[in-house]
Order: sequence, then C-alpha cells, then structure tokens
Amino acid sequence: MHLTYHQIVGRRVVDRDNRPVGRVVDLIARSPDDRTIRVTGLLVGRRALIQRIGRDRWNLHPVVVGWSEVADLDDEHIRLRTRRDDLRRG
Amino acid sequence: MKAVSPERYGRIELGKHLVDKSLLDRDDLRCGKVDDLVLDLSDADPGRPPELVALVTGPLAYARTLGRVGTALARGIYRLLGIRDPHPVEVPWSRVRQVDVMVRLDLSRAECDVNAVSDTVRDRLFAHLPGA
Repeated sequence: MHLTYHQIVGRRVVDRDNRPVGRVVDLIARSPDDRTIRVTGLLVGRRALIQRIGRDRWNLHPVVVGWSEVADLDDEHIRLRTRRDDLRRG
Repeated sequence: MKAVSPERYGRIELGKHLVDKSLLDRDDLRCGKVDDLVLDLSDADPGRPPELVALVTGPLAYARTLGRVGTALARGIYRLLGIRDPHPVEVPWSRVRQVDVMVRLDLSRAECDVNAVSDTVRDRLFAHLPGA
C-alpha cells in the first residue's frame, strides 16, 4: 500500500483509549544504509508545530511517537497501541 | 553517499529536510521542487516502518493535497495556461543522487517530464516577446 507524506501529516493521533494526542506535524526517518529511508516515527502536537516553524532554541521537547506504536491508520485518525501518558518527548 | 545524510541533519525530518526543496537534474538545471513523498507500507508486515520510494513533483502534485476542489481549481488554471493533461510526476528514490540544500537527481529534465508548465509559459508568452 502506498501513502503520501501529505496524507499522513495533519492527521489526528489518538491513543488506545481514543484520547487525543495531537496532529501529526512531521515524519521522522532514518537511513539504515545509503539507499533507503524508512519512517521511524511521528512528531505530534503543538510543541512540534512551534518547533517546526522555527523555535528550535526553546527546547520544547515535542511528542515523538515511534512507528512501532502505531496500531492503525484510517482516513481521519492514527490510532496508537499505547496510552497518551506513556509517550516520550523528543 | 546519495541520501539525506544523518551526519548533516542529525535526525531526518522529512517535511523539514526534503519537502519543498528544489530539484536539480544531472546537469544541475532546476526541474521543479519536491511537492510530496510516496511511502510504501508493507501489507504483509504492518509493523514494518514505511519506506520512502518516490518524490512527487510537477503539475497538480501539491494541489492533490488540497482535496477535490483544490485539484479541480488547479486543473482549470493549468488548462487555461494550455496544459491539456496536467499530471504529477513520481521520481523514484533510486534516482536521487544527493540531498543537501537541494535534491540532486540522476535524471535529465526531459526524463523528469516536469517541464510542462515552464515549456508552456515559454512557448505561449515569452516566445512572442520581441528579441526572445
């Protein structure tokens, strides 16, 4: 299945209890080798948005959701398999 | 090394480090910008991290993200410009040579097929200017 970047960014993220976490602001990726780039996580929420528009120096520590925590993607939401309180900040 | 260098960027953030960057062909000529990215999700293994497989550029690439109304509006504008069949172009990630302040491709502009807008503007507007 193919998805585009813009189909993921902006989607609402909810935890396993359907509690809102925020919207996806950006996708974090890593390059395990020179030829491949894999998405490893999502930057989520208002802190990520403020950091994204240029306030890096404030050390806002936005919510970072690892891809392994994503349980399901539908047209509107990204549902996590973890609880909101257990998410780490980047 | 062709890809986005983690040494250069630390953590790679796709929106920050790839989307909206200018594309350069193999002759260092501009050939558009990165409007969107195509990610491949494994059906067999949903837990496997999605892989970046292509960059999307060209007519309607960004407009597609604005829904049906945005797409229809953009299509109408392109048709007014004289582009009969505007369509976005997917550049395979394997044809990306390097990412720095720009995205350098291992393709020529003709192979990219992204010059519909600039060619049309050149032919319909600038070609008629005296001295052009």
